[in-house]
Amino acid sequence: MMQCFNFLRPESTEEACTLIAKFGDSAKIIAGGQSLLVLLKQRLISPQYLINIKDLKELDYINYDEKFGIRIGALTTHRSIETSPVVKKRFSVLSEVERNLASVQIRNWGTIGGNICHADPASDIVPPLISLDARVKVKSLLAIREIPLHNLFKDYYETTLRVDELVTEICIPDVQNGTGVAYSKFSLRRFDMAVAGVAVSITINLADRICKDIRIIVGGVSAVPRRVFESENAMRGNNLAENLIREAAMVASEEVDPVADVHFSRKYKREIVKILVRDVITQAIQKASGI
Amino acid sequence: MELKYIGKNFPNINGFEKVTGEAKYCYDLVLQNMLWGKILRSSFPHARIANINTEKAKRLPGVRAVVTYKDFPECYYGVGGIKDESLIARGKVRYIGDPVAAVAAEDESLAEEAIDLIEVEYEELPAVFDPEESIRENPPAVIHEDRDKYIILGSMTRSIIAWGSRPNVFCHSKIRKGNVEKGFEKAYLVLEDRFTTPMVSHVQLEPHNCIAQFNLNGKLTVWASIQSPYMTIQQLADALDIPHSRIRVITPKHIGGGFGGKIELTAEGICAVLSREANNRPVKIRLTREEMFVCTTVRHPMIMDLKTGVTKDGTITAMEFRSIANTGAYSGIGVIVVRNVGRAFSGQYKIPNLKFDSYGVYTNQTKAGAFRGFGVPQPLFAIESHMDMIASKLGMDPLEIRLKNILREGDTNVIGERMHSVGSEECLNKVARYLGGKSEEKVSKGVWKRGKGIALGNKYSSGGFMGSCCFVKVYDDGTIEIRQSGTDIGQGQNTVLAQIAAEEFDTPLHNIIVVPVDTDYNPLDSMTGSQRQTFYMGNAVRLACNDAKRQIFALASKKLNASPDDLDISNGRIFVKESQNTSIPISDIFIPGGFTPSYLPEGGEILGKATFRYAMDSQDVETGQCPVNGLRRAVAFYTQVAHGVEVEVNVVTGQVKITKFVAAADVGRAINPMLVQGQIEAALSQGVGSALLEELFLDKGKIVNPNLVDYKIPSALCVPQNKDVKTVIVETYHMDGPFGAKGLGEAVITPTLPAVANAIYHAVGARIKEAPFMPERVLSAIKEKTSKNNECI
Amino acid sequence: MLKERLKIFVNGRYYEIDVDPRITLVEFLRNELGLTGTKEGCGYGVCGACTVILQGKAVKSCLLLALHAMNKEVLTIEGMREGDNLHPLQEAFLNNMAVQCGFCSPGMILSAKALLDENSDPSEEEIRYAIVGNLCRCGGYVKIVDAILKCAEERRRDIGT
Repeated sequence: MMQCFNFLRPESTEEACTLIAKFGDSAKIIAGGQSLLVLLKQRLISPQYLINIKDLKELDYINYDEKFGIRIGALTTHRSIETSPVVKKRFSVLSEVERNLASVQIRNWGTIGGNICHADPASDIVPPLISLDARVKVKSLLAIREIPLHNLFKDYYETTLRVDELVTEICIPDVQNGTGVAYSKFSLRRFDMAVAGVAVSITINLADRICKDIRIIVGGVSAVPRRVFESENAMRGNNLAENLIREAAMVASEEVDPVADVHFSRKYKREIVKILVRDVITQAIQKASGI
Repeated sequence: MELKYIGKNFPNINGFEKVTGEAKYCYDLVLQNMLWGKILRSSFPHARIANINTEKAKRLPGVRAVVTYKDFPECYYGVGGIKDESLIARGKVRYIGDPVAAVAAEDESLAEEAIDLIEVEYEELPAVFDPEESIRENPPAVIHEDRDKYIILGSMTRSIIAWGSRPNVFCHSKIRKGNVEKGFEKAYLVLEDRFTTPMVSHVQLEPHNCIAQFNLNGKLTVWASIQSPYMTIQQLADALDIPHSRIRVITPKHIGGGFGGKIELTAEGICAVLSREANNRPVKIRLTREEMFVCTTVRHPMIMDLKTGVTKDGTITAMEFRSIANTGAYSGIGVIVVRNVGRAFSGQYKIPNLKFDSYGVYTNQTKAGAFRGFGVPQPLFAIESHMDMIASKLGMDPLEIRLKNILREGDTNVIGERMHSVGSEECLNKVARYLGGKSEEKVSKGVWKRGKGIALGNKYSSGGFMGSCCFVKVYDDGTIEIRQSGTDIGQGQNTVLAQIAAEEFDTPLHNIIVVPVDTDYNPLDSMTGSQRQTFYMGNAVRLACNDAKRQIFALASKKLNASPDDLDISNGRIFVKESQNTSIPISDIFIPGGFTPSYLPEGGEILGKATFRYAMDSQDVETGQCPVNGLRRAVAFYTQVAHGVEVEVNVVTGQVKITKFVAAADVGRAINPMLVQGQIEAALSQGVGSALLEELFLDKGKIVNPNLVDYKIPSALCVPQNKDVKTVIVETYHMDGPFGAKGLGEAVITPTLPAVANAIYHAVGARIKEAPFMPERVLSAIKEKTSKNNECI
Repeated sequence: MLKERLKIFVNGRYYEIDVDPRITLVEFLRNELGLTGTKEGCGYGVCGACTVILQGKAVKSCLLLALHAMNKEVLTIEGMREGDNLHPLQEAFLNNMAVQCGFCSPGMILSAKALLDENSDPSEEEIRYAIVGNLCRCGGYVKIVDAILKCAEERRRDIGT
């Protein structure tokens, strides 16, 4: 059984931040708890206080605005994102990713903020968000700051957040014309966590088929989701051709440093990264081209 | 005569409770004054126990008992006949997970806390994990150095025990038929290959759990989620040194899966001793999912070397087979598994010359035990792969080569049995028909290549010492109550028995009650396993019903003025066969009770009683042969099953998807066709799982994936859609089965592994001889084949 | 260990019970309310045997603290019956032999109910998506999917859609 804790129920984000500041290291924030409860049951963590933010309705929203893009409250459930018409229309990659995440039961209760802050390197949602240039709003008693999502991750299951900080919102700018975003993952069973997951956002000049910009993020094979910059550089500014994509995929597979697990070796994981990068770049190009 | 209740799809008689949530499993059972137990387990694979300090644990408030080996009698048990296991480790631990101490406390979390306070000092010993190292004359470690002192029971077991020069080999089973050297000389083609299968877990959804309580006069009562209550009694009697007549086992009506894994003891004996130490309060232990993986029996991993010789037209001339079964730290039922590996050969093909050697070896790992198929799926992987490999080399159709070699009705098999009720041909033909011809080229899109494969499987049902006993009570209102100790672990056993009784008494199913198992009141059954319930208990029920009818007709004959032989019964009325108009209700043979319901004027109750046994030959120890003048029968029956699978293989990642699944099973006669179908469909869970997903990985004896995230079983998206699944029931009518029925609960998953391997071969030309067919393994095989092809060029 | 007062609706009944804050929803339902129909097969949210419906959505009750269900409505298998009658899904599971050992059945039925309440005409694929978080070891999902499809079809017929 879990170690004893006090269950605190702040009624506002302000109050939550006050409690987080007060109890610091001896507290853990619980949203849906789909990841946290596993850690508690295994006694990998034993906080004295659990600060429950699941009921903070003010952090559960999906707002779209042509100027700012989409803002998703940290406590929005995966299921809400999956079924949101505006997400489906504007950020279809997120709908697809959410639809294939875990199981409907987990999606009904687990939150996007919880998933991000758990900092599991195999998270399906993080690589696409990074590729979409997502930013997170981080609140503490003292301040509100905004950081690129990419900078949130420090190590396995570790964020760069200070102990008194709370992620309140994920902001994603609109996807421009000529930009395509795609994600694909490899796992043994369909809904398993990714052995490797690749997200690509590519902006192309439709006229001359030049890659104007690209972001390639590989999840699951390192401590944190990783932008493979060398692979991006291989693509950027060049004419889109089959061998270019293959080259970029090869570079990506060499750039990552996977760790073997019970099911797959390092060599195999590199191979999978290569295949995924190639496939996902191709898918992203198709999306950018309006196909 | 048309059968009214046999061959009909009655809903599962226990289903109502299951779908409403009323069903109580042992997992749900809580008794008054109950304590909760937890077991401290070894963290070393092989070590002496130097010291155990339980003081701190004992002092924790709420703890009522802490036990170590000192509190247990020095007794050993072993279902397979070698009594090499004690309830708790004595002297040394032999695998990571071996019980070392146990605690009973007022609640489960206290018990957990107390376990953490027990201090154990170990002296680590060298350990051995590789069965090929363990089988040597000088293995890195000897696991049972006192084996000469072990009691060995049963002439069968004694005959195959091999306490020879190899200290970790506990048994060696042989079949010798003909002359294999000559057989291979005659062969046009000889293949020789090694095949391996991994350690696999049952993953019953209901974790093992039990409650035990001693009462003041020394009687032990156990409630447990188990398959075979009388086997539990025997094991407890041996392990606790108490008479079996003082042990009562109650199996709550609903059991959340067994698959063979709930036959051997897990925590029952430990709960019993805890209860005794805790002033006879009932103690419950339920295993966590992690303990399920680590500390309950697994399927025997096997290393198999098969050599097959065939003539130019594909007829088998000789086979030579050697297998090493890794039984882990204790032999358990493993002795019988090791012997029964040979049944894969005797149930399948005509083999004129066979040299078969099956070894059972100890290692410092989790104990292996009974698991659906019981030693047969593993060798079938080898045999059925070889059949396809041979077909490929000879340019023959995979169906054709099998039809050429299968045993048919009346044939003599490799151990001298005369085959009866053999469905192989029909099963294979049906599967081939529904699977269709080769996958069309056009459906092999891009990197995904399609291919089809078939395989034949079989499973025997044990005989000899096995027996099933049954009581059938008839009430004055026509209610029929069946009391027996076979368990319904999801296969629908209770429903099948009810249908048989309904047919015997010609009365609607709602008049039949199958009472839950309580060994104080229900007579003995040998085992729910070996797919024997329909055949054995079904027959016992029939016999008991007939005995009950005899008693009824003896009493009714006076009232009806007719000979008992001229009477029959239907819908609660006894009638004279020739004239249906002359009849009396059953109640007429009872007398009014005044203050109570009516009762029987003589004989106490209408209580039909029966034992069903099925005589077998004893096989020769050296050759495995049945005596020439014997019954020509070493098993109760064989059930054949054929699988046909279509797969899609990704040639760049090695991923495999099952796109079509066809199965045909010979069940003798389907008492309840939908229940039979449900069994056949089980291959989509356990068969597909063992082919593509399931493996317990070990690192120096430690299971590194003891959870459902890293040990993966098929989900609803891992299997084809229903339109791509076809199941066929074949009926060959066994002459001694109830209404011709056999069993099929185990046979149904035996051919899946080779069917998938064969389909992969036909898709991408790569032959995989190591299960499961994980993507990396498949990809390696594809690359190896490609490089071989390139070499040839 | 300070207990907390949990206020919760389960199967239409209101309860106020002091609970250990660590207790999960499945433990609360089974141990405090005696509703043992909801099962626990793994405790880590993988097998799905603990599935219940919370505020109309299927959730894994072993991965929810009971306190998270404060002031909320929970439906368990025991609450599925419609008066004296079985819920059509329960009937369908029975009649289509979709129940073998039955340990997965309550969770499976509730996942199916959540699906059909949202989507009265699901495709087979949608059904499999909905139950991918419910593991069955006995049957291979064939009859389970069949039961859900047949139930959906019958309900559409009854409603006349």
